[in-house]
Formats: sequence, C-alpha cells, structure tokens
Amino acid sequence: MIKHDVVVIGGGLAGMRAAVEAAEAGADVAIVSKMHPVRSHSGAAQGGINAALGNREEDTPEAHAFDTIKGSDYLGDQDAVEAMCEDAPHQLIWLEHRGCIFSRMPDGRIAQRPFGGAGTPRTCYSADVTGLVILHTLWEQLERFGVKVYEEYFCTALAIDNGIGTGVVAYNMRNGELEQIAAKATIFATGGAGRMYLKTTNGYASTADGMGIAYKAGIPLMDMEFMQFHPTTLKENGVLMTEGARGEGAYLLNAQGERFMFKYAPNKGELASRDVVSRAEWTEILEGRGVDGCVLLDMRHLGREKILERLPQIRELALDATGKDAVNEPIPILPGAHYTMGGIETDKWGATRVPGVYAAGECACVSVHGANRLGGNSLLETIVFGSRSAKHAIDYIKKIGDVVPSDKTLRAEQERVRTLLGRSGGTRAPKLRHAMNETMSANTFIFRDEQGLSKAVQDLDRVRKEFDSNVYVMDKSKTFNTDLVSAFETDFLIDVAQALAKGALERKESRGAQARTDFPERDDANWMKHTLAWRQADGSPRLDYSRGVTITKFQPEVRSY
Amino acid sequence: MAKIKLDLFRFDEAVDTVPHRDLVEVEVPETTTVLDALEWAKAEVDGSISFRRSCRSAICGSCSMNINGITGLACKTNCKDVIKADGSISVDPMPNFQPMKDMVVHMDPFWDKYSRLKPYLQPKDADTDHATERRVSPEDMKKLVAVANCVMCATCYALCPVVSVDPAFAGPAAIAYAYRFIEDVRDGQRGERIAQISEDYLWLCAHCYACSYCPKHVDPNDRIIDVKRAAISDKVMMGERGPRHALTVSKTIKQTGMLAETEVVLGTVGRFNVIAQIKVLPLALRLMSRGKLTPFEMATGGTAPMLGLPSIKPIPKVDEVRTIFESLEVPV
Amino acid sequence: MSSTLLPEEQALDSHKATRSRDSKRYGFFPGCVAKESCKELFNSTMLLAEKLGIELIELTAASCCGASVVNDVNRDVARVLNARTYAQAEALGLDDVITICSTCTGHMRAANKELLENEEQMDQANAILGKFGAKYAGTVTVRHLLWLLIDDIGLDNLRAMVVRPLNGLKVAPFYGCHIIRPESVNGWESARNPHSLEDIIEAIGGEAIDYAGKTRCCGFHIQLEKDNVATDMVGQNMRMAKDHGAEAVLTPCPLCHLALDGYQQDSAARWGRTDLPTFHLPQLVGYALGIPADLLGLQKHLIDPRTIMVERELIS
Repeated sequence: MIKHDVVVIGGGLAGMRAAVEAAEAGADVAIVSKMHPVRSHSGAAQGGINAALGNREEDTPEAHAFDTIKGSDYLGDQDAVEAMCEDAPHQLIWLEHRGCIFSRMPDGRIAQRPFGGAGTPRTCYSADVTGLVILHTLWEQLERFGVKVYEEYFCTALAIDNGIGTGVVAYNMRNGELEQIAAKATIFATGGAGRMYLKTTNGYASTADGMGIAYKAGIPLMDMEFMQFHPTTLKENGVLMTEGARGEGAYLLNAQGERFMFKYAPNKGELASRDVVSRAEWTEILEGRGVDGCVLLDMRHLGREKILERLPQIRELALDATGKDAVNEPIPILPGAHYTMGGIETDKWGATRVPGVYAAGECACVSVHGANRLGGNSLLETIVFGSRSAKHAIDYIKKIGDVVPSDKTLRAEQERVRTLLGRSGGTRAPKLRHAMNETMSANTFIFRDEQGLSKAVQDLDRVRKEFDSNVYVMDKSKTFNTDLVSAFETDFLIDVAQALAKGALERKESRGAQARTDFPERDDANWMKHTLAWRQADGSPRLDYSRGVTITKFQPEVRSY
Repeated sequence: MAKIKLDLFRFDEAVDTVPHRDLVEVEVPETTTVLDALEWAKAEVDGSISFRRSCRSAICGSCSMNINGITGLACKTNCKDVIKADGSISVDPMPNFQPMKDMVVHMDPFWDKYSRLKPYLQPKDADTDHATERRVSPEDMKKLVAVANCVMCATCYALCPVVSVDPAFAGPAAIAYAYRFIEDVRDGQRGERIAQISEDYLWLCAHCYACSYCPKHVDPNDRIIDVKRAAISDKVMMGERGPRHALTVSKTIKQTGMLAETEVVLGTVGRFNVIAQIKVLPLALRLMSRGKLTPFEMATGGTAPMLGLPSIKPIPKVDEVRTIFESLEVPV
Repeated sequence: MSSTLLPEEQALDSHKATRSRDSKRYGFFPGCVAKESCKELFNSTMLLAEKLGIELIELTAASCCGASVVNDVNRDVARVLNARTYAQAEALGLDDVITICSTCTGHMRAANKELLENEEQMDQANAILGKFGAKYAGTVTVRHLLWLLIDDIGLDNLRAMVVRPLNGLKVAPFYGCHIIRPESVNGWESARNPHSLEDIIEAIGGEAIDYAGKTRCCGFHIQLEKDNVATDMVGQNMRMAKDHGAEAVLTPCPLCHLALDGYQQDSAARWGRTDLPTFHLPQLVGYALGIPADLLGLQKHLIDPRTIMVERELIS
C-alpha cells in the first residue's frame, strides 16, 4: 500500500501550493493527480490575482475584504474573507520571491490592474496568462523539493475509518490498477465543475471530482446553487476572454453601440461584479439588443501596442475562434458557466467536518465568495487556502498516530470498476453527460424559476438512475482507459448537478449569481444562511440550513454598482 | 456539417506488438477542431480511442499530436485546414516519443530534460533581504515573457530532428526554459546554468527552425541562440566545439568577408587536435580527390591562420566588414 | 494547414514583382560555399542564367550572410553585414538579390525583415554603413533562384524550354531548412508541405518522390559538434528517400549538398547503403534545358550522379 503523511488530490494551484507548504515544512507529502500538474486548469486563468499591495493606489486588506463581502452579496463568511485578504500580500510576495513572472510597473514593483467589483486596482497580473505563470512557479517548487507526484492517477474515493480520513483509493490510469493510498491527511484540490453545462470556460478536466468524492463519502457540499457565469466568453467554443480586458478599459456594447452596462451599474459600468454584468448582458440579448445572441467586447480603443502587451492571449484566442482581430474589430461574447462558488464545506483553515480531510481552491466552499466571486479572488483563494490547509494538516498529523485504512473502500471501488467494465451494453456515459448538460444549461442558467428548476431536478434524477443501473464503458483496456475515467467524472458531475439544482430550487430568493425571476429580491430575513447538501442513498441531496453566515464588520446592505 | 474520415493510429502497449489503423467517420460542424472531431468519434463511435486533452484553448499543452505528418496542438488545428483531398485526416502520436495507447505517449524523457535544469529560481540574495517584491524593471521582465508562454506541449521536442537521432540532446523546450532563468535578473546561478545546458548539448542545436511551429510563439530556436550568445559572452566552456565553431566562422568573416571552409573546420576541431583532424581527414581527402578542395586550399587553410594571415583571398572592400565587426564590438 | 502565425508575424512578400523581373537584370549573391567547395554550383548557375535569358549581376563585394552561425556570437552583426550587401545592390540600381543557397535565403531574409520592420535596427545599420559612405534604403527583396524559376520564368515556360526531359528519373526533393522555415521569414510557400521543388522536377520530366525527410534538417551546421549526429541525420533522411523509391536527390542548398553528398558513405553502417547522388538545382534544370552535362561539374560530386544518368539514358 502506498503511504504518505499528507496526500493532496489535484495538482493545480491549490494542490501544488499545499504540497510545497507541506514539503518545505519537512512533511512526507505526495500529490495524486489525473494529469501532469502543468496541465491543470489553473493554467487557463488569465486576468490576475488580487492582493492589497497598494502598488498602484493606496489600499488595505480591509478594503479588499469589504469589496469581497459586498461582491459575495453578503453570503461570504467574513472572518474567512478577512483572513484571506490579510494573507494576500504575503502570499503574492512569496510567489514573487519564488520567481513568479509578474508584469511590472516602471519602478519595478508588481503591476496591478482594475478588476470587477474592486474599489481600487489590486489585481496583480502577468499579461493575460497569470494562471499559467503561477502554475509554472509552483511546479518549479515541486521540482525544487522533489515532491512525489502520482501522475495520471485518478482518485475515485475517500477512505474514512472510525470517523477520520485515512486516505484515498486511486485508479492508476497507466496500468488500470486501483491502489489504496493511505494518508493521515487528505487535501482535496480538484477544481471546479463547469462541465455540468453545455458551454463552459472550463476544460474537459473540470468534472467536480473532489466534490463528488467527498459528497459520496458523507461530507456535505455547500452553496452549490451559486454558479458563476462569466460575462465574457466566446460563443464558438465557450473559451474565456479575461475580465482583464475590461480592466484595461475595454467596453461592452449592444447592437445599438451603447455601453449598456451604465444602465445597470451606473458607477462601475463594465467593472461591476460578474453576476451583475452577466445578467445585464443576458437581459440585453433576451430583449433583442444583442448581435447573433451575443454582445460585443470592444478593445479597439486600447490600441495595438497595449493589446499585444497586456492581452495577447485573448487576442489570439478570439482570432482563432472567430477570425476577428480584436485590434481592429469588436469580439462577440456572451455569458458562460465559469466557476463554482459552492463546493466541499470547510472552515477557514480548509478543514472539513471529518478530521484529516481538507479542501482548498475552487473545489472548496469556505465560504469566501458567498453568492458571487470577484475576479482575481479565485487565484488568490487557491494560494491562501492551499497554504492554510497544509499548515493545519501539518499540525494535525503530528497529533495522530499511524493511520491504517481498512480495505472496505478499496473493495467497494474494485466492485464499482468491475461493474462498469463488466457491462457489455447499456447507455454510454457521454450520452448521460449530454442529457445532464442540456437540462442544466436550459434550466439552471442565469435566470431561474420554479418550473425550470423543478424540471432540472427531475431530469437529473432520471439521469442519475440511468447511470446507476445502465451505464457501460466501451473501452475494456487496462491502458489509459479514458472511457472509464470519463464515466467516473460523469458520475461526480451528476451528483453535484443534483445538489446545484435542488439548492437553487429551494432557495426562494435572488442573491449574487442566483437570479430567480419568481423571487427577484434578496431576502436577508430568511436567507442569510448557507445551503448544505448531504448525499442520500439514492443520490439525491438532502438540504440543511444549519450553517449561518459569519458576520464580523460589515452588515448586509443594498448592493449596487 | 462536414463528414470527415479520421485515419487513426491504434495501439495498446499492454497487448499489441505492432500498431494498426482505424478509419472512423465523424459528422461535425465545418468549423470544428481536430480535437473536437476526436471527441465526437470517441463519444459516438469508439470509446476506446485514447488521447490526452484538457483545456481545448491551447494553454494546457496536453493535446500535441501528429496530424497529417505534422505535430501540433489538436485543439488549435481546424479540420478544414488539414482535411486531405480524399476527405481524411490522419492522426498519430507525436514522433520522438514512445507510444503508450493510441495518441498517448510516454512523456518521461521530456520532463526529465527539465528536471536536469534545476528549473526553479535560485536567488542571488536571501528572500528576507526584501520585505516586499524584488524590484525588476519592465524591460528585464519582458525578456522572460516569450518563455513564460510555453505550455510544455512538447511539439518542439517532437519535431526536433536532433532529438530523433540523439535523445541525449536537451531539446528546444528545456533550453528555452534554461534561458528563462539565465536571463532572470533575480537568479544567482547564471554561469552554472549555462554550463549545465552546454553539457546537455546546447550546441547540438542545428538551428533548423523545426521548432518554429511552437503554437505559443515561444520561438525556442531564437531562445536557444540567445543562450548560445550568453555562453559566448560569459565565456562558458569556450574550449568546446560549439563556441569554437561560432567564433572561428565569425573570425574568418571579419578577416576575409567570407566563411573560409578549411580554416573553420580546423578552428572548430582544434588546430592541434590531431585525433580530431584525423577523423575529418577521410572526408577531406575524398573532397580533394574530386577537385572540390585543392591541396593548396587545404594547406593555406591550415597554415595561414597560424601566421595571422587570411586563409582565403579577402573580398573587395573587406575593411568595411572589419568596420562593421569593430563597431559592434564583436569579440573576434 | 492553418498557420499559427499572427498578422504581425507574416513574412515579407516574396512573390511581388520586382524591377528585376521586368528588366531581367538581377542582383546575385552566390554565398561562400558556391565560391569554395561547390564551385560547380556557381558555374552551373551562370550557365543556367544564360539559358533563361536573365542576367545575374554578382555582388562581388558582398560578404558572407552570416551563415546562421554569427548570430551565436552577436545579435546585430549578421543584420548589418546583409544591410551592406543590400546597399551594394541598391547602388547598382537593383531591387532584387537572388541567392542559390537555402541558408543564405533564410538568413538574408531574416535580416531584411528586421531592417524593414524595425526602425531602430535600420538606423543602427545605416549609422555603421555611413562610416564608409553606404546606405540601405530598404528597397531590396531577397529571393532564391528556385522562386525566380517559378514566379518569374513560370513552370509552363520552363516546361516549354526543356530539350532533354529526365525520362521519369525519380528525384527526391531536399529543401534545406532555411528556405522554408521559419514561415515568418520565408513564407514563399507552406513550410509544412512545400512543393516548389516537386513542381520543377515534374516540369523537367522527372518523377518527384514524396517522403517525410524532404523538409528535415541535414545536420550540416552541427557536423563537427558530436560524432555521428550529422551522419545520422543524413542517413535517416536518405533512408526514407531511398525506401520511397528515390534514385537521386535535388537540393537548392550547397550546405545540404555537402552533407548529403559527403555523409552517405558513413551513414551506411547504421542506415544501410543509400548511395543517392545529390544534384544542385541549377545542374538538373540546366541539364534539362540543354546545357552539356560535362559543363555542369557533376564529376566533382562524391556520389557520382553520372552513374544513374547513364543508367537512365540521360547521358551516354
């Protein structure tokens, strides 16, 4: 049996940050990742990472915290938000000291750009490839500390024995064997679940793995109904066009050529929070002021030099997908599924309710983003909570003795794989994935209502049952069986989608990214609470509202931009 | 909608000794990428078709494949640009790698080349000397931007003809990554890094620009030349063939306006390196036997430089050439 | 194949009509190797020019193009050396410089692109040229003779001028890296799948052999770097050509010629015997257009092309 003190599931920013923290402290840590770490979707993040460095204008962590809490539509837990914003400057300097390639101001300090919902420019960036450069820096640190990576091992289940986490079971994609990996502490850092939707900025790998694993193991998910739809994605393929474009001054125009955002956000315009912008765009489109189902992102006035220096990647992405050169033409965009504010429930140290089990990054819900996340705070979250969860885990592992998982989890997984591979007919996972995607996109998008959400719940229930009884895998090979892996991923997505749809149906209010046409107002009296979802035996979620929102400094106010 | 025939390489290392090919017909929108076509084939026709992919936006580097004989990212290759006259697109794994399953290859040798670089910042001074970020000018930081965009897709490594005959060669991606640290003003190991990459056969790069197909505009070949210049300017391992060759060629051009072949060969292998000269002698003799090289040319090529004289007749107005070299302070 | 080139990465136009095309008077830069160990290339070029009715005016005071190697020493010197060459062409009233070497083509075009697209670099070059009274005004285009044959003469005209067709001789093209890559410098044809040499081979009555090695590197620049590497690169490519049925090789680069002609003997140990004779472009085209074979310098090659030519009854 493979054995480590700390095992990190996922090799993106949060996972690598946690592993480096642990390795540097001398802990026996390993990463289990279904891809090589540099392939992680963290690398696709473009616009930047927030911190109150105050390089461009005066700034404080408190101002950052306020913007974040307001951005969360007051559902964020304020103690956790404060901790994150306090830690941010230190983490940014840590990254820079490790060699991260940030864009610089003329005086050599890290440059910061404006971003949505931010009172002052605090988004540190590297052109429009910020996620990529941080990914590289952390991977370099893995090399430095010789961190072991179980590469192309797909984690399928969490082992819990006697109420504490004892590690995971993972499927070795190269030889088709299931392995038990014993660990005193397990940190999930598996990213988001955008692949619940037909169109998403997320890559193929964003399939809710850690969320699904924790949920199946009896750990609740929190606030799943809050799905962020990023305002600027390409219609052709769903690919992201960074908020940084608007940060550099780009406009959003409707068919009439107006900067329509000022109708919805008189102060911030294009730089309102993402939920406000996405709703505004979708309203313009639905009311007939769109262009082919899109609105226009216009960067022309920024000038060729600035675009090539600060936004070269998105310029090329748009050119490849649409044939339009942003230097000369506006680019048609529309909102797309982008980020899960919800995830595995944790406290402000990344610890779940099960001792020895942690979660960090997008797969976790602390909650620092509440009902809507500000741009630039996700990259920050990965670094802060990657490091915090590791710190907590390092302390934890000193206190507990040797951990010996029973083989019940391994045997259950072996049985599951046997079943999946054993069927010679039935329904293939891609078909069920598509059915889920269709109902999610039709019924849980930007504007939701009782009818649509109920339909989603029913449709997903059907998909769940069909999957459990009938899904089969065509590829029977033991070598790199991506058909089987895709089935695992679909399984996780269905669970998480069910939690999302049910959470959205039951939350009778609009807040942040949840916009109910039948309950259009925010209802603080009844809904200042998180939604916990517990998986029941048939896969459907049981909702629980026992966890309130922690308020320290900022009482909920009317939120306008 | 378009009907495309995917002509696929199929192989499973656990069960096959030789690969076979499958022709799979897909029906996809005209604007589809090769990756999308593969996904369709996998979802609708044959779930066992295996390939790596993730972001589908050319940032994760997973989907490098050999498409119609040329390596590139499948997510960045439009079907309509590569479809052949017979309506097919052939898809194979990247060359220079051992196949594992269909288009999935063993990538370890590629990652190993990076590990050998010690690819992490080794700062000149202590972090604690800086309460905030180390200051770096925008100009200095911009030098690193091209390599910062590398997604480690291995397209360049797969296309490199030198790697295909000598896997000990570090390859374009690793050398470009060495450049990233060599030119990072915060790093304190410049000399050691240049020496390490020189030992990993930096000078085996034939500057053939096969790696100019880099999908991220890293231009690894230009980065390799940047490293070679750094090696010469820092005088690292100057006794080796590579630097000697570059300096001798430059010297003969300065002195005569032309590349003086015999002098260049001798200057590269070493005028007093008898063993090396014996190795090149058979070819030289064969060239002489055909009249491509005269004994006189060989003799003057060998002796004239020792007397400080040009080994071939200088071009007219050669002093202009010397002015150019001197104005640019070329160290020859 | 979709190019990964962005709009600002496109090469300088190499198809545009130059004054030389109309006047049939071209600047000519033979390069160093054509004047040293490949004099047969120079001679056959001049004879071919006569046959084609064009005048190649040699830039006798031009220096080496830098051979790609001087870039390893200094980033500016190759650019300024070539600016001097272009200034000489302009001083002769010429706007077109023809090369007969792939390496020269790629490096001279790269230098020209830098000079024409970068004001600072043009100013730097002219500041130095000014020291000896020269100046480059940016009006020169650099092209290989291969491109002249297709753009200026035309394949139809070439075909019409053939008096000794090749009788289906199976010829494998070997481009030489620097005439096709990078696309941002050359751009005359696709670097991934060029076919100019094949078109010429077919026009003069040969059968063009398609094989993956046609666009690969011959290893010339690193032949002295490490034992066997260049030999292996030659062997790998020639093995592919031979296995696809080639009887001879055609190349527009004398450096490739030296490598392919010189290393097949040594590569046989690992790659099997290939023995493919390598023609310079003007030799094979010149032969087809009626230049006497004994004037083409074929006897200088290490792998004698006359053997296969006799076999295929192209010469007696």
